[in-house]
Amino acid sequence: MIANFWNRILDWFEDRKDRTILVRSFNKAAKAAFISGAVPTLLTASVSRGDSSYRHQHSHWLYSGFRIVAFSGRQLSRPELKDVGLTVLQNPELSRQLVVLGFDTLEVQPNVGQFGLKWELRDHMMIG
Amino acid sequence: MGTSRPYDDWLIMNESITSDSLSHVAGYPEFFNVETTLLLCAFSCLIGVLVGRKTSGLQRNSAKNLGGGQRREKQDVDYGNVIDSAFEARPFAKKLKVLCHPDRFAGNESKQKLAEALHQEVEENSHNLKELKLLELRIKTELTDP
Repeated sequence: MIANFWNRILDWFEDRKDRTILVRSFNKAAKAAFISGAVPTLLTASVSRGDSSYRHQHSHWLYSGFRIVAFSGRQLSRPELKDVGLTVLQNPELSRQLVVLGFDTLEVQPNVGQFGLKWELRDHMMIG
Repeated sequence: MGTSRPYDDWLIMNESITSDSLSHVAGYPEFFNVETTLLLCAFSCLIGVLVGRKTSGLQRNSAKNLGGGQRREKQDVDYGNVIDSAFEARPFAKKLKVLCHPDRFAGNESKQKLAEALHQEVEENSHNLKELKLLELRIKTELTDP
């Protein structure tokens, strides 16, 4: 029982570290692409509360949303936001890693305006 | 000739109050004395060291078990490709769809079938720039070359 408890503590630390590494790696790549001029918009990932109706077995109890904010300075159109979201969802490694690390919602929104899109990650895991 | 300090009287007057309050503070929270604080610090340091050693040991073991050729780190995701794909993949996929559209090879049945398959693959990977670049190579070698 003590070993089980100890392993759960270790898993918690490990998961927290992996979540932080994932978000930081994404942001680092986005910054590098923006600085080099490869992309016109700076994408910034962060952890959010997520949608409670999208919960699954591995969902984090409080912060289960992976939010991508596009710093474009204008209201992005729906197809533009959809492209950003589908890029993450069509990458099987990234989408599976997100689910395993306790995320259940993918949110994409611009830095101006009220309009954003969100997806349920469980539907895009490409299992089987 | 000795100089008298100006606030001596004041200090003497308040001495009893000070000592009272000090004794009150010293006896108040018995749990948070120096020994307990040191013990707590030592315990948290021990936990931190153990967790750190265990996690680094786990990582080392998992890397060892996977072996040299099959070693896959957790950072396997190509984030650069993800970011680039978000803005460049759709127009590129559109261009490739035109290049491998089956109607372009109406006279040649084998090429038409190949074009259909490639068109389908482009459709499936329309948001993955890396895959699209590989498909472009295939389209150029297999479809456009005689």
